[in-house]
Amino acid sequence: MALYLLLFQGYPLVQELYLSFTSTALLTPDQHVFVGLQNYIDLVTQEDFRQVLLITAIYTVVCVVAAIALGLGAALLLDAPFRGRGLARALVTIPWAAPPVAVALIFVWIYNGQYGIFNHLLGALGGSARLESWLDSPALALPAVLLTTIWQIFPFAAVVILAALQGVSSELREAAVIDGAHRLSVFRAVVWPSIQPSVALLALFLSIWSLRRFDLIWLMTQGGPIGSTNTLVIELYRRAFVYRDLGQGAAVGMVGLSIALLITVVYFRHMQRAGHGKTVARRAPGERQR
Amino acid sequence: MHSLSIPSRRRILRGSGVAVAAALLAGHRVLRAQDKARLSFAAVTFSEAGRGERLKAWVGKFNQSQTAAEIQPIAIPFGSFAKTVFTQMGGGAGPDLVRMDLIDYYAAVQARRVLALDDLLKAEDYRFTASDRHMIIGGKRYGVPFEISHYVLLYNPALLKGGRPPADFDEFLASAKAATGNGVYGFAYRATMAEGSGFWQDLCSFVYGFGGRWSDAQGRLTLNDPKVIEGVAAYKKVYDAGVIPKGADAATYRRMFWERKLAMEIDNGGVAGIFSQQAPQLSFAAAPAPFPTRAQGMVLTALTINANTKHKAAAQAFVKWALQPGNQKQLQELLGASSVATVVDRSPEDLASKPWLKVYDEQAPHGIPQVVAGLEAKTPEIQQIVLEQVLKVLQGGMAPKKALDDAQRLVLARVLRK
Repeated sequence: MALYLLLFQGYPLVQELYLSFTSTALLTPDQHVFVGLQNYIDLVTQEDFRQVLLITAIYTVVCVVAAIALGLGAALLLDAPFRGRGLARALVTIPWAAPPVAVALIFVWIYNGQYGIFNHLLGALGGSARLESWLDSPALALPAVLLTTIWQIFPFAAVVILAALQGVSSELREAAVIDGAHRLSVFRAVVWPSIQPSVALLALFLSIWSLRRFDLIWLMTQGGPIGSTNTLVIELYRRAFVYRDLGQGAAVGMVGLSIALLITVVYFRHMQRAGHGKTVARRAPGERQR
Repeated sequence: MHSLSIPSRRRILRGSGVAVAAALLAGHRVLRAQDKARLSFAAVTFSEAGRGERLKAWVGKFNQSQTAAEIQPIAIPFGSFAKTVFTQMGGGAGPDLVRMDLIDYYAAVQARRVLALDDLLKAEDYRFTASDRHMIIGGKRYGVPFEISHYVLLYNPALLKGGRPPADFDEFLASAKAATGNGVYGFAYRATMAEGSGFWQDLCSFVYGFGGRWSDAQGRLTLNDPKVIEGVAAYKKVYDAGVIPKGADAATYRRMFWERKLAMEIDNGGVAGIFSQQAPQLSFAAAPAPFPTRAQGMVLTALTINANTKHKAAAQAFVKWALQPGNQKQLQELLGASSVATVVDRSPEDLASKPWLKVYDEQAPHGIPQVVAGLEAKTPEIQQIVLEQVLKVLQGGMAPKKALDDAQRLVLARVLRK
């Protein structure tokens, strides 16, 4: 295990860190010129890069919060007994199962200014509400990309939370209801403490995935227009493979890695504070699966 | 009831003999094939509808003519071509032969990733086209033109008043407006970062047409030159005129053109060739682009030999084979309205059946590569900044002068570090 980590994770990381201190071209990766912190200084002093960080932060936070909120809502609905629940559970996962490339191409058409269904709906709702364009507008491109991303990832959140809900003791829920607790109180006092560790882990995964999401954004906007959807990974790709500057690309990658590590550290600290040893309501032995 | 007959010993022996002979023959063929040097040839063209298959057949003719070498075509789409091939070449591998865009050619030469061809080709032995001069860098040749494609105005006569093309920019705008309506658009071009490379090509058509250049003869940046500003202002005029299908990508609006839903577009000879082959019933026509000058962008791709090749002699043999007059003629025919490395006169039949070929051929002296002259290797970065600034004009209503002043300043500071 240690050898695996050293070979397949440690070495590439060290290599990337070293690259970030060099000036290295894509076509001549064997010819490094050591430039020290210059690549990082360039990043810090560029206003564009600060915008990249801001866009990345907005994209990540909105994706995670919205996906968890929608996922939680969907999971609670799917947890309740109703006819056709199995089919509904299967249908909800479809966006998550769809390949991001196909999703991106479909949504490019949905958002099209002249042929897109979005504008037709807006036109039908209020004539003058028709918008000229979504993905071509600096103001609308990021919300459009966010909507697409959330639509694709919230089913995963729903499935994870639904699985966590299966572990909540129905006896405790029933006891709380008998004691006169409202639905919201039951959720706050019984359900939420049980599913919180799963939601926290889900938030960690979604954060890291959002930080490194490339395909959907690149295919929809390539980071444009005017940098309005330019996230860290898009910037990394552009510098390394479009401008062919591996050193700059590696520096952007290290910034992204540092942010991901920071989020992970915060997560584990939070979990420690929350108390691993805390007893969480679990299904009683022999309790029937709902 | 039919009983199964037991084969005689003789028959078994005879059958075994035939099987052994067949196996030996097949083995010999395999060995013969293994003796051949196997080269790979990467080109975007292989992935194109129609032209790709024809180009593979053309390469197949080379394979048939050789006993010691065999080329395998590799199709890589335009969007990921440079990244894919350059990553491989940087890692000491990659295809033996590479057809690359001029921007990539300059980068590859600068990084010494392609072989010099001076020892292989003597200029006096060939009737190279004028565009061949772009293959010479620092007095040395590293490639030969594979395809040279010029830009002209393609139009659907049935959708234009009087069936005539516009003579100047004002007439062009008026024609585009008159043609727009009932699901038909007057003109189309690209104006999104999702199609950055195409956006740049279309912008070059306008800027060059209005007399602008990205740099001067000394290689100094001229992004905010008045002529460049004029070209960008014209781009914006078209954008605001309500004549283009905004957001439609090139594949979509080209299809609209051959379905007679688009009156005009400025496009290269490769596209005209695709129209002609894919939609033979379409009677489209061509005219010079409706700008103050005849200058237009030019797509120039080079045929190069990867410096990492293990089959240098075979790769050189292919380059020499490709330059033979008969093979050049076949290549030009399969490429459509493009030119090739050497001067190939078109047949009278071709010119009669495809009158638009003449317009493309006449555009040749006015073709300018879509790179920043003198700063070729930096073009991708400059392109990104310029396109972002032009988008501010198109989307945000920024004045073209301010946008291009900012572009000049940003490129000098960020790309050229001045």
